[in-house]
Amino acid sequence: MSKTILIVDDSESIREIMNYTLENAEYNVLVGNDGEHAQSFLDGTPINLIITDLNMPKKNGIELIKEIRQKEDYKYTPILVLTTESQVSKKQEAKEAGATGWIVKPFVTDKLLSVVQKVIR
Amino acid sequence: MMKQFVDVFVEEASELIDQLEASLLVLESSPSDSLAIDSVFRVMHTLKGNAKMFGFERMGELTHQLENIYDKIRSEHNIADNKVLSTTLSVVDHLRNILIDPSLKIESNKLKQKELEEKIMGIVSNKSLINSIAPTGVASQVISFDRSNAISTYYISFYPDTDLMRNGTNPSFILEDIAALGKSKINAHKKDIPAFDQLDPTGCYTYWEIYLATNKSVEEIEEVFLFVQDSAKINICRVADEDLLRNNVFLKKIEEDRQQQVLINIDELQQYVNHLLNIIRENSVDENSTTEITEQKISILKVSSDKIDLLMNLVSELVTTQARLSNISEGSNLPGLSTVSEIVEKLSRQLRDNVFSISLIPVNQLFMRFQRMVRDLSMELGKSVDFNVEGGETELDKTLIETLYDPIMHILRNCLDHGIETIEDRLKHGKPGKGKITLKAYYSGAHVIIKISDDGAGLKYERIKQKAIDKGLIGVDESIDEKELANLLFSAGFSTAKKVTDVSGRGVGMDIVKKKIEEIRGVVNIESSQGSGTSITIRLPLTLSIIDGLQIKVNDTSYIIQVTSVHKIKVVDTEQIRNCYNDLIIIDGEQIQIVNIRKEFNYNDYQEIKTHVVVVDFEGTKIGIVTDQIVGQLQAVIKPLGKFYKEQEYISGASILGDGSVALILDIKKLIYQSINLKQK
Repeated sequence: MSKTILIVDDSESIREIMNYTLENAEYNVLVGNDGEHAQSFLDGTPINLIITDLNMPKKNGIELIKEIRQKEDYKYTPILVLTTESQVSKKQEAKEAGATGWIVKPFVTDKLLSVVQKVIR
Repeated sequence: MMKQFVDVFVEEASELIDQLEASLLVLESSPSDSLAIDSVFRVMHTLKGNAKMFGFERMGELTHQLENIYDKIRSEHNIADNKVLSTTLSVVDHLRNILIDPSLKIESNKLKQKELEEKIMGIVSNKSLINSIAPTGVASQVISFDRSNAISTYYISFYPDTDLMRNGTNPSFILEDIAALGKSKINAHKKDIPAFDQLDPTGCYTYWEIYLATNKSVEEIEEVFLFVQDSAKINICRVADEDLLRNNVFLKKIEEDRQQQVLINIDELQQYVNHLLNIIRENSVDENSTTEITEQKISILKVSSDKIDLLMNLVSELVTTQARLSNISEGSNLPGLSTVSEIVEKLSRQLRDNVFSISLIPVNQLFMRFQRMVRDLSMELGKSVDFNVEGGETELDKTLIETLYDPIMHILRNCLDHGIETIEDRLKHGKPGKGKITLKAYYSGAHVIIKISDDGAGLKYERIKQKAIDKGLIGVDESIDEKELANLLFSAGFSTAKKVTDVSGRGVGMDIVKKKIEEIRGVVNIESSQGSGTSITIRLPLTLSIIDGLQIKVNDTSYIIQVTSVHKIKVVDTEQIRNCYNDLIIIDGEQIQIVNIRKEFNYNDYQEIKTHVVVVDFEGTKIGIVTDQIVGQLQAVIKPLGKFYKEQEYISGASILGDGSVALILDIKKLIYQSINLKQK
């Protein structure tokens, strides 16, 4: 049974590359355009991992993580955040909100898969 | 000299020679490994002494000189150079011949003896060796040159906060990643786990001590803990610049310390580590006494395999008889009978497991034999290969191991010949010049998986397709996916090597490999991605003759399904089966494809209202097997079917039930495979 990953990012190019990479690695991928859109997937659908950007219109990543951690179904679901090299404080903030780990942008596809491998098998 | 003693010596000597070969191969990759040098010296010493006692004078002469050479290397902390190693390896081959032909009656053996004696004399009298022995500078230079690939032992303590798992972190993945870096011993400390009524199931109360022997750097180890740095206390400490996990004394010490408090204080830790190192040094100083004793402590009893076979047969009979007893006790209301019958069942199960474990031997005995072959063959082909063996301690039935030698040998030859590219080709494609072949064994349920993977060129699907078309195996326009193409390699007479080489590609190969593995109820699978390598997986049952079975009934006939493949059992309305579309039904909210035994065996529809569906795992997906009724669980002694039934596909054997009737053992995998395949066509 392939694992389901929800990716949330407002940038189409990032969504596309992640979707392509993860689907090629035989993951089941759900795509959210921003924090608010992502909410519509969090209705009890089994999700094994959530990867979210931090800076997004409508609802940013930190808020999204906090809300996910309130939901009974996703309380313990691994969450990875997308950060850039310069956002060290953001990393910390995200972890405090309940993120499991991070992926540093820009990333190569192999790196994405290896980080995903760190949190789900 | 009585012949029986000579036989014992020959057996013992061949084991020693195997051990010697293994140590030499270790030395080849890390020439300064003092444990390996010690081991070579010790084996030479034992061989020399014993050979002369049992009339193998030729062996005595050769080993005597070599013992001197290694003694010198050992006592002067020198390294064994290539010339010494390759000579010793040729001696190893020759020693095996001497065991068969002690007085060198065969002319070629006589010549070889002479040649080797001269070579050894050459080394002994060679000034350059003696010169290179003295200055330690030379040795340390070699060591530091080799450092990048050398193995160090690390001590890691991993003490997570209680809420580690609450943000989605799974500590077992971290442990898996650490274990993947090299060889490891992981101790879990569980004494902080609170009593059940105070336990919060989302909390992490366990902490771990890990000993890791790896050639990776500290940074690479830290990388594994990247996401948990803030939520755990992690301590990584290099203990030694050698592989301590190969040292029995150290392993024993770890085992003794297992239950003790984890050492978080860095000073205490350092002290502890120094203490450990001292123990090892002490032991290596008077290695003649202590080390040898600890290594020999495992007492082994040699029993002829006939006796074990007899024992196995008796246990099989006992299991069948016990089933009859259970049957009788169920139908009787005699007080105490059911208790006795249950105890007998429990005892016979334990007895069965124990007897089976007697005939299990670690696959290392098999894997060891390939080390040398890979080394020699890669040299012959002018390729550079790193050969890794993992999971050598995995145990497998002795008969299986013997059958596996040829198939694995053939697969490895293929890896080396076709898989791994030449050094120039590899560099051209941006790969490291040294290829990598991994031979790995591990348990998976009631199966043992043996995986052979390489990082070579992978399968050339285009060429396979062309070949298959040429051979008329597939049509020109037939669309066929990569998986099917890869499996064509197992068809008879299929070889795509551009030219037939001495090593492989003689056209009899993979089909025989497949046939041999299927004979021992195994399954072989190939996976490959072009450019980055191929891996072949062999899946084998743990034992051959008794399985834990689930007894089912269809049309009043009893069948047995192997219990390990069963996922769950559900009672559903027969109506639902009758009316399902595309053979899909919903069980527990999940869509599941079904295979109806009644349909497959051309029986009429089932008339009762309720039907039992056994959900089994099939290559990663769940398939529902539709039966009439579930009878229960039993230990089934597998008996072969007579030759008249050899051609059929679905039944892999039969078993006698407690009431004396016969149940057929269903080969679920084949049944599902055939059923689904037929539907697609």
